Amino acid sequence: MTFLRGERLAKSYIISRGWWQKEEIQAVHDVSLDLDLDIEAGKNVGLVGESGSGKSTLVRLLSRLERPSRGCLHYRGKEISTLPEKQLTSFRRQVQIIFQDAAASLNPRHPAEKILAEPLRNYFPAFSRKERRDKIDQVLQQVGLSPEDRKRYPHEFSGGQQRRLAIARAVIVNPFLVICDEATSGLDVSLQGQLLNLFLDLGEKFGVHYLLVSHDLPAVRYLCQRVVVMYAGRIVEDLPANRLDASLHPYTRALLKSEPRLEGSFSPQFLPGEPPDSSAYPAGCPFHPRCPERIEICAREQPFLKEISARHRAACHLAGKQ
Amino acid sequence: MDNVHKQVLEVKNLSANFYTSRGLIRAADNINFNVGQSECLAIIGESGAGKSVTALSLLRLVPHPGRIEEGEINLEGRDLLQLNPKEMRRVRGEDLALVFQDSLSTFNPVRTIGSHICETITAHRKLSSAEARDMARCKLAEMGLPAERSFRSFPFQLSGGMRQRAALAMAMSLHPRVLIADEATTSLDVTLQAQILHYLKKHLQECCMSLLFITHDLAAAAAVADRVAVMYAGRIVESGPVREVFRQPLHPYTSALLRSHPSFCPGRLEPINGSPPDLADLSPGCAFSPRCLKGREICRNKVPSLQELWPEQQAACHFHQARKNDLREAAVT
Repeated sequence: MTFLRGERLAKSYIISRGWWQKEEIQAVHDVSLDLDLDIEAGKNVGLVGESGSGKSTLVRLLSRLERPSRGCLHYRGKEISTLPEKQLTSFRRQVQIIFQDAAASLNPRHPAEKILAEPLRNYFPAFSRKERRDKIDQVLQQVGLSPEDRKRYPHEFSGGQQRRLAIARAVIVNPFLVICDEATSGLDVSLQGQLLNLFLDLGEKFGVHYLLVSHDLPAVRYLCQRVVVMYAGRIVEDLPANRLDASLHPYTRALLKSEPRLEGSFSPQFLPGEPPDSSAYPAGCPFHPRCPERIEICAREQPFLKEISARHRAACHLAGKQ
Repeated sequence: MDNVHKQVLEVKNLSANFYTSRGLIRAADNINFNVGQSECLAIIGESGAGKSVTALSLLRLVPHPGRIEEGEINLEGRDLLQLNPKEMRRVRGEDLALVFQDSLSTFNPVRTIGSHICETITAHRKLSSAEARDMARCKLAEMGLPAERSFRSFPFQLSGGMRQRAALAMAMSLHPRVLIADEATTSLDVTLQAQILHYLKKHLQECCMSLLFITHDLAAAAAVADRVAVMYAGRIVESGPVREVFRQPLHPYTSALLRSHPSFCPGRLEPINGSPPDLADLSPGCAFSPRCLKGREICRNKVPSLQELWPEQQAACHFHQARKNDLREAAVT
């Protein structure tokens, strides 16, 4: 059974522009996404896209931190988008999130021990004090900290250790899916490498699956088997990571081309223009003003996400036509 | 062949120390490098390696309690450390310009982008305000921005990528000889990063500008730089042409860095264990020795000096000779 399935999820926000004007911002449009995390080809999923493309909003919808404006969310076959918080206990335990700013996500007045004990108390109320303590020690070791760190406060840890603590808090309740929202962005190379390996190891040891939200393509390629590309609040392509080089959507190809690399002389190829303003998407394909391959139909008709081959979907009029 | 660049910026034995309550911190220790005309030198390293202090030293903007201890900064034959404050003010912006990572705090939030650029121009050039405005618009257009709109915008009205390009336009408004980009593309999207790198490269060629590109992003450095200097704990541990350094790193730190990055390491990553050292409490020997897989007795006692091993490629490691032999054997087989 599909672990998590979003069906035509949409989210819009009303923001005020001045005191008399209200504007609606469509952050996510009709996104349908199945996370069948059981199969090998989709164990870890990468969600990539520029800032403002709706990645974070989609994550907030999938983790039900926010209710979708339209559409439904199925968790193991059960519709949960409107369920009250009380009935979400199992879902909340199974889906954990690690945020980009680990330091800000840890309570500065709680020692590591208390930070880790809280999720245990919530989801495993039957644990005795001793069991909790053992579990905390065990998890601290697994993320590369030591049991002696139990008494330390977040500010006493280095940036890398704070990230590890945030990871420990996520995996301590044996989740099925851990969502990492830019969890490795902006870090030093060696630390980023350490964390990526830690993710891999925890994945193998505990059967944790990841949804890695990132604009760092090399990291996504390293960790994920499946890549979902978002643009302007929509999924434009969804394909296995090892087939990235055969991607069909011009936006995905542009992303790959803008990745700096050493081989050959890097001729920086970049997309002209800016990502569209989320309050006024262009008609037709939202990417067409920047698309190097646009044809006449692109300005008129919105392309839908269609199956190109097994596990490969793309939303482009040209996809699959050559 | 114009491989021999005319040297524009030469830095010799530059040291900057911070006098803190925890003791003396050598944030930049005996730094030597030079940048040629139209050349890009990337300085890479982890946070706390002294990259930014080096950049600030060049502009003599090291914040209190730091101080430039010794050295020479020759910009086209002039030693910047000998200039008086007034002369130094003329150099900043006009000959040496700096772009920071955070473009939102580069600009004053209550003033328009245009007024920032005009201020820079009129502070250095005797131009009427109309001429300055034209020049500013022209610079914005060169960066691929809609000139009129971005000129009148406030910083918050532009997207991150546009703002960073506006910051570049401002830094380049006076055709500086050397542009220092301190993490200028970090934390931008790949597409925006490619945009910025494109404009930087274009200006290197067109304006005969030199670029000092400071970053911890190895891939960006590999893409834009001609030469690269790797810093660790306040010292340069390896420097050389970008291809050679990335293909056959001589210093264990450089090769370990490359093995930590998914773009350069096929298969499972082998990140460096531990974290960068505390600069207030450095071991007497090679600063990298506690994390180095090859660390021996001599590494813990003696600081290795930077030695030229291949033409133009230098490394500071006691075991460079062995490494060189390894590489040579690998090349033969």
